[in-house]
Amino acid sequence: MVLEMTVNGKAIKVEVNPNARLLDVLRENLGLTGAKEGCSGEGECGACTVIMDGKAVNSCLVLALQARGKEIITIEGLESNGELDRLQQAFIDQGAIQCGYCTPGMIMAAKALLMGNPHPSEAEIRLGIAGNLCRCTGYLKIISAIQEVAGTNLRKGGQDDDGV
Amino acid sequence: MGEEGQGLKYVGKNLPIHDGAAKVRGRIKYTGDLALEGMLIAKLLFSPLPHAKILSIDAKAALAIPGVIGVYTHENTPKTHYNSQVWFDGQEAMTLEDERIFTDTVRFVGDKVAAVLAVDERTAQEALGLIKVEYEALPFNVDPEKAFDNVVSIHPVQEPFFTKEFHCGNSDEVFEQAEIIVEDRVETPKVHHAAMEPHVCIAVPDHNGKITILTPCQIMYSVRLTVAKVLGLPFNKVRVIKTPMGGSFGGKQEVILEPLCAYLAQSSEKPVKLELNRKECIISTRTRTKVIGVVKTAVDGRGKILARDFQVIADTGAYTSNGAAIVSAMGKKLFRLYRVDNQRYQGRAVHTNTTVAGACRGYGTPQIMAISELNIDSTARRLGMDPLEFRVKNLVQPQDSDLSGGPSLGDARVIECALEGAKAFEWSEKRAREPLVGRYKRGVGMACSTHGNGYYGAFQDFVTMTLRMLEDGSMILLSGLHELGCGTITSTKQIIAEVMDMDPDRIEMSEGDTETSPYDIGSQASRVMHVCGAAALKIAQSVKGLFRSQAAFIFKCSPEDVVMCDEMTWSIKEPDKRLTYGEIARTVQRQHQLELIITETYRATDNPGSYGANFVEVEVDTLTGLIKVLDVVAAFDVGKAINPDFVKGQIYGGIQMGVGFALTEDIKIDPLTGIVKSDSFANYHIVNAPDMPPMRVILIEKGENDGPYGAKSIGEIATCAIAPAIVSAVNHALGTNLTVLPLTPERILMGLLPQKK
Amino acid sequence: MTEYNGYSFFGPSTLKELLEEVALFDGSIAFLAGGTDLIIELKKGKKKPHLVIDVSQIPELNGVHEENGFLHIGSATTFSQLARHPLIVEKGLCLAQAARKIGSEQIRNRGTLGGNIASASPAGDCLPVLLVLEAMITLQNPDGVRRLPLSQVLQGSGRTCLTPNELITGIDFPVLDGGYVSGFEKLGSRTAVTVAKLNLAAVIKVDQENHSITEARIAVGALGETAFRLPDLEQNLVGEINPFLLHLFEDMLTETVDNAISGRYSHPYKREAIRGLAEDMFVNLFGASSVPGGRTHG
Ligand SMILES: Cc1cc2nc3c(=O)[nH]c(=O)nc-3n(C[C@H](O)[C@H](O)[C@H](O)COP(=O)(O)OP(=O)(O)OC[C@H]3O[C@@H](n4cnc5c(N)ncnc54)[C@H](O)[C@@H]3O)c2cc1C
Ligand code: FES
Ligand code: FES
Repeated sequence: MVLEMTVNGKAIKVEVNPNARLLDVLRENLGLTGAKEGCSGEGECGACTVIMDGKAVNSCLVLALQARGKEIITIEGLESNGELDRLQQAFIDQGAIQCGYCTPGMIMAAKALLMGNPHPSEAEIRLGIAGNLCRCTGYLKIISAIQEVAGTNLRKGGQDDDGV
Repeated sequence: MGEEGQGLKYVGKNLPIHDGAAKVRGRIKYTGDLALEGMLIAKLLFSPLPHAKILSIDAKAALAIPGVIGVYTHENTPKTHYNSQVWFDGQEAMTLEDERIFTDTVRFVGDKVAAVLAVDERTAQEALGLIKVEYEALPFNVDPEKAFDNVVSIHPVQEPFFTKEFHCGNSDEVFEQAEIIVEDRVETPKVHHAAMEPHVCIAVPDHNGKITILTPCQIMYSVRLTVAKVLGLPFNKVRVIKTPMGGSFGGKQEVILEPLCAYLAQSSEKPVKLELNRKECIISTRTRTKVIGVVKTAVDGRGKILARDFQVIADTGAYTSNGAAIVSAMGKKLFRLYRVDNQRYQGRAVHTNTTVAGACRGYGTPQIMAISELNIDSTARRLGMDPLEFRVKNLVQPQDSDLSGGPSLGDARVIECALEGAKAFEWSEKRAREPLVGRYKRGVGMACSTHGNGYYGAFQDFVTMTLRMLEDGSMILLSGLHELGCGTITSTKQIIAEVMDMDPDRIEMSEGDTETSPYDIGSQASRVMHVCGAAALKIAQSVKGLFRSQAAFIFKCSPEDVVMCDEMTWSIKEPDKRLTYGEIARTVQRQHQLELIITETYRATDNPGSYGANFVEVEVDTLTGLIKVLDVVAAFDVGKAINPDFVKGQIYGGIQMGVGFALTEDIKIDPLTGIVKSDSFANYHIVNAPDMPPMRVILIEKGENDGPYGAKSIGEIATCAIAPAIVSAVNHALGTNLTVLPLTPERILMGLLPQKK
Repeated sequence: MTEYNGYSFFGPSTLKELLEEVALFDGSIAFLAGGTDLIIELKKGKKKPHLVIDVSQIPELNGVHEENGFLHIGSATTFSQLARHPLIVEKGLCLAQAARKIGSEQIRNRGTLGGNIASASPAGDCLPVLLVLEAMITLQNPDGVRRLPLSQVLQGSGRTCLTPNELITGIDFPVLDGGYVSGFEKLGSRTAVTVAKLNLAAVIKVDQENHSITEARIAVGALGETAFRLPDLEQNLVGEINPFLLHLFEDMLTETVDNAISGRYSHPYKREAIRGLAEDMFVNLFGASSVPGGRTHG
């Protein structure tokens, strides 16, 4: 069947199987491999998070054809004219990245959060990324990165005593 | 070890990870993101039974499906036995080789039975469902303590299949006379590594019989060794390229998918991708070793430890894997944390019909520390002593020796960790607080730990590197480094940049590729910063020496007069005549036909302990049994933090794993069926953001050792003390002595029942 | 047994289109809303429909409005919408509270109320809530419409009274006016993104002047095949508010657990833990001062 949607600002028309998930189409048909499958499509890890009509969704739990007419933003679409989005930069600057496997989903969840609530509290940030698992970072630097962009970085997520 | 007498420009600074931009842009290609032309997809069939003989496999229907290339089973694959843990030729003699690509006797639910190779995943998946396997069920055992009965025979060996003893002094005698002896039994669970990237591997054959394997691995030479062995290929016909790592924590340290994937590529003459889903990763790859320990401590009335005794059982699961090595590794740690003159450790490893255990962040240390530290806690309780005070009285001190005969502990600053951590945490104040009345109880707890820095003293530990300066002054390091996401590459660049006095971004580093990288024993044993970092420092110093002597020639001065600063160089005698590094490199090439390149082998020269002390405050809901970790202070003696942000990143992540180890994570196996019940992230809960406590880190950086600038390891020790600290805090809150991890709400409420009655 | 060849997809934009297709289609149909349950089941092969009909882009099935003292909710309204919809927050707060505690942000952005009902999970968070709100469920197929109380719709774990071609179109319940308080509490294995081990919903009518409860509706979930109301407990709660009320509430909930799941592995835990939920519910409904020692939770 033919699927028409907008991905990262571009109108897309692709032939898809009825059982293809949005994640499959992004990765396989469109070559956008930023979104990852970390939990075999059970909605538990958030590595596949993309933004659909302004909201964070698990692209493993959206049938591709359900995205008809929708506007999708993936991690690849976050930068504009080669310039990183502030969140992307903040993730780098705050050291919120280790292996990086959770990073695209994490950033998209955070982006959606900030789109709806530009100045979330730390508790709101934690809940906003509750559906995104990270095994490397312990989340604190991720929270700091989001706080940096939200302008609510009153204290760093990791409140260190060593003065570094 | 480091550059003398100058302020540091790059070392000790928080540079961002080298591939951060690629990662935030979603551009970095992990192995699962790769699609090679003509690539076939393999899918595996796993055993539904915990122990059974395969009587027959009927693949006719599967093979009849268009697009199916082949079905592979024990009948048509190599029968070579191997051990997935072995990383050097000859090591197999120290353990059992009991794995094969496919087995004719399945030994756990999740054992590999067959593979379908097909043109795409959908076809492979469909064909998988059509394979008919006839099993003859065998008796099975999932209980490590029952393994000692030897009723169920998993392999043709007696259980325990491995026993290791370490001792010092005469503990029997001391126990006989001691007045105070405190005994505990501690149990730690099987844990899933939960790297977000599932296990995956691609193998590509070429026209000359060479197989190239793309794999996110930790020890490429281990992959090469085992694949060459199983496929019967010379080493130079197996090329292993370490691909970007989406998380490992030891889970991808052993050789799991590669032999099969390589064989499929070899026999089909096509590139083959083999990728597991989450359930398959949980039930069929590797786990943290389940450990049961009985520990006794004899003390005198003033709190001096007189003797300790450990009887430890390691459940290595259905195949031997690192079952022997981990029993030794656990025992060694016990002689490096407390000053105990009389101590005995007896560790025994058994097989059970459960998912295979293997390396997992800490390599047994989190387990043995849980056993040791919880007992230290209950001993302090028995003495009526503050657990901090009790520990400080008995902890090791700098330059202590290892009474079991291991390498010196080095500049062991665990007491400093304990005292500094306690101060930041306000331990005494919190400990003295009145207990809360009512539903919520609060408690504080602590634990210490030690971990190693490489293999020095146990195995060969060396690394070869080639460092060269190019004609524009930029540099390339050729090495067998494996970046696991911890910042290895950036930290190594910082070291070389410090020596060469140049921008770290101007240094390029390839990662492991067995065809182009010199030998390296891999990212294991907490050796990378301490050993490979030292190698990088040494080779940079050598190249710097070469550079200086060549520059001296050009400047017509002595090498000591050559100044190097920000990629500019001059003679101290003629400060106005400055050249770039590139100009030197070019001139040297033109005039002397020489390249600024050095290859060097570095051998580890010490193996000090890294140390840590963790402090935790918890709140326990006595009605629901839920535990909230309110505060964590983590103090670590890391010698020197080459990149403090990376070090903290390791600590935060280690604590995340440790909180799970203490509270939620458990690969639960149904005793009636052998089936793993917690087989997805829906029922295997790793800690998510709302439940992560705030964490404060204290780094002790005294640097007295042979690591680069005195750096010691952090990645593994980061997760070694947190779980017992949490359990200790819970016991403090509740007045209990709970010692079975994880402390699930059910265990908490059942533990409280006696009090409620 | 004929071989299963997968499903085709139909994405209508009106209810009429949908019903026409349903009337014509010969084969099994699965309605797809947020997909947070169904897509997983389809992938695992636990459900094998011939046609999947997407209801997520039908405006008539989406939204909340008030009419004649009833709140009407389209079946495809998402948890995110419910969580902050002013009408729900004001006149059916327990539903908003339940919606906020479901899954993750990503799940709430897709998962729907209709899907929660049709999935009929024993632990479905909105189910005890809809029971205490005395919600009626509107079902429709090409032959007509029926409106049933939720208790009749739920038939067991994963089972409902829906006929194979029947769709949930809407949910409605009488608004809770100022005299009512309502709440939802849930116990999982972590703070967020967790299936309920126990959930509890309450609607209480309080007579402030006489300091008494004049009406109580309580329902629990995750204690059997479906969520259920507790009529005995409800009766016992009616009357003057006194210091022993919480204790009574706790004891009767423990008794409920004993009756529901004695002998099950989870019984010893749940009979204790439900007391914690009971306290949480009191704090939720009546404030921290309603439990002994207030609330010292960090
Ligand atoms: C990570 C994760 C966390 C979750 N957490 C929770 C939680 O905390 N609490 C909770 O209760 N649930 C939870 N769930 C389950 C799920 O989100 C809910 O059950 C949700 O309400 C399902 O709604 P949906 O719109 O996604 O349904 P779908 O998946 O679209 O459908 C579910 C079932 O309902 C049927 N159906 C859907 N709409 C209709 C309709 N209008 N008429 C007839 N049949 C219909 C479908 O055919 C299917 O059988 C979780 C799921 C995941 C993946
Ligand atoms: S793959 Fe989508 S949530 Fe894990
Ligand atoms: S950075 Fe590795 S999982 Fe988050």
